[in-house]
Amino acid sequence: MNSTAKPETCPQQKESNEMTEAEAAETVKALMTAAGLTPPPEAMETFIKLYPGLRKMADALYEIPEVRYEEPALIYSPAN
Amino acid sequence: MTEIPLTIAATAKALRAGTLTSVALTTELFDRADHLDSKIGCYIVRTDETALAAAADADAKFAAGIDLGPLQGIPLGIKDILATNEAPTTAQSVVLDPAWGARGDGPVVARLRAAGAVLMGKLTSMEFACGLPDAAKPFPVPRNPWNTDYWTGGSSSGTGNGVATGLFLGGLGTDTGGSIRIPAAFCGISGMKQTYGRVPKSGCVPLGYSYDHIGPMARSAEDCAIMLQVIAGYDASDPTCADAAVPDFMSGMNGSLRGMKIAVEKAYHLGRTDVEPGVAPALDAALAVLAEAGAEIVEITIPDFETLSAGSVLSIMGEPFAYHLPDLRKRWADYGYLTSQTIAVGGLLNASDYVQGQRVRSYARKLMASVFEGIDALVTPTAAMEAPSLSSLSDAAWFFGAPLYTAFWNVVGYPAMSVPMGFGPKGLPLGLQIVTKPFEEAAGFKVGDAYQRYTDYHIRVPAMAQMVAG
Repeated sequence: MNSTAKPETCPQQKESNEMTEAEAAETVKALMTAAGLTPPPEAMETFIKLYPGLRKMADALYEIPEVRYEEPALIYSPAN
Repeated sequence: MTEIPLTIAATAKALRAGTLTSVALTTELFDRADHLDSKIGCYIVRTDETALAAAADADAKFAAGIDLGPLQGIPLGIKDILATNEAPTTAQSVVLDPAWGARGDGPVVARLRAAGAVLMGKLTSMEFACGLPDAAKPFPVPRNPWNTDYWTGGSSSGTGNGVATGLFLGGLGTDTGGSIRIPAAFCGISGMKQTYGRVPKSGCVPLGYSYDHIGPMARSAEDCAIMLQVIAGYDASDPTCADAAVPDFMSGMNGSLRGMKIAVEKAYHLGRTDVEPGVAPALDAALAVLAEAGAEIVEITIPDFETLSAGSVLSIMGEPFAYHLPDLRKRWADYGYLTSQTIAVGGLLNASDYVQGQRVRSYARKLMASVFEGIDALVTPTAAMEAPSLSSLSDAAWFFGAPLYTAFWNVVGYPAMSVPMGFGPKGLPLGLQIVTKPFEEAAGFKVGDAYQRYTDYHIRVPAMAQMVAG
């Protein structure tokens, strides 16, 4: 893997930019099922409404160049 | 009727001058609660008997010449997500394990008690310190004392409306993404989220382990400093607690900001389309006051701030989701419907998003170190809005769209305080957020205190409380 290569648009970003309500509904349903949750319809409606924007916000976190070689802020220490 | 000063500092003087006793004070404030609490939803449980006993003990100590410091005999409230000896903890939820709720004082509550404070009772929260009000659950709905059709902000809601109406002189809140500063701003009081690790958070029902803070809420910056002086300091029960010296938080409070450079960032904080009218003029007026007090005001821009601010909310969501997932699977309906929605948003993100959030957090910390290199403080609106109406809070999406400017400071762990900065067109309070470098809370208190020597927003009292206080 070439660790320095950066695609112009990552697949997730492309997907979220073009996400339809049906795609959002399908993704949200899959995520909730995978988590073992069965939210009521009104909660699912909220999640479907929120999801494309949340995905876009999350994807933006991968697009900050300065973060490319950062370590996570939470570091495990075997001595403590 | 007993004449009660508005602040902890003034009340501490009255108690020492002998013009007031703690028992008279405590009795009067419970009397106020008898009149007001049903209107504002402040208390989950009052602890009259133990509070009056503590007040009598404080008076006896004064009589014997024993002075434990400025909190001796001062009535305070405790958000009901913090364990105390007097009453079980509910986290305003029927889901919380009763065994957890039966715990006694955590270190912060124990420190207040040892300082002679009078603990009045346990206060309303948003369920598990997140979510939004839900009238269907068996807990009071906290209401804004300036207009009870509006929300207090959350999640330290009862601490906010109780201080604003004078049911106690200060209290403890908790803050994972703004839960001290938002109700402080919406209720018209002051509240400090100090540096992460400055105060031990053990004894608090967790929400976001690496974002949670327990902190003071009171009318003035000075009162918050008095409280923080007591609750700050290392305790081994919290592995994230910093073993750092606790300075005198009040040492710099002289009303002058001469020699201080205070930055403001307007492009993001005032540039959004949903900034409510009244916020920009109030911020400009606050900057003029800080300049009058001697500060040099500089306008700055911060690279990536919009992405960092938006992303900060997301990075917080993973920790509550992990904590609550087993209960959400089994007991979804037992949660308030807006609590379960809010927490389950964490399930829409994945493990790599959480790790990426933590990598962004590393970058944000370095970026802020650079931003703060040449300045002493950064000020922003706490929120670019007045409190929303309770009827408008219909789903969890509100949290992810509202112009709230608090969560980023939980991500980087910087101290951030909200002080009242006037009122908006709806007649509801607005907040000014003051951010300083890690472990430099004293600089924030100095700025807040100087601002409050030039303004009186922090000592204004809602009409309903003026009537009760006479």
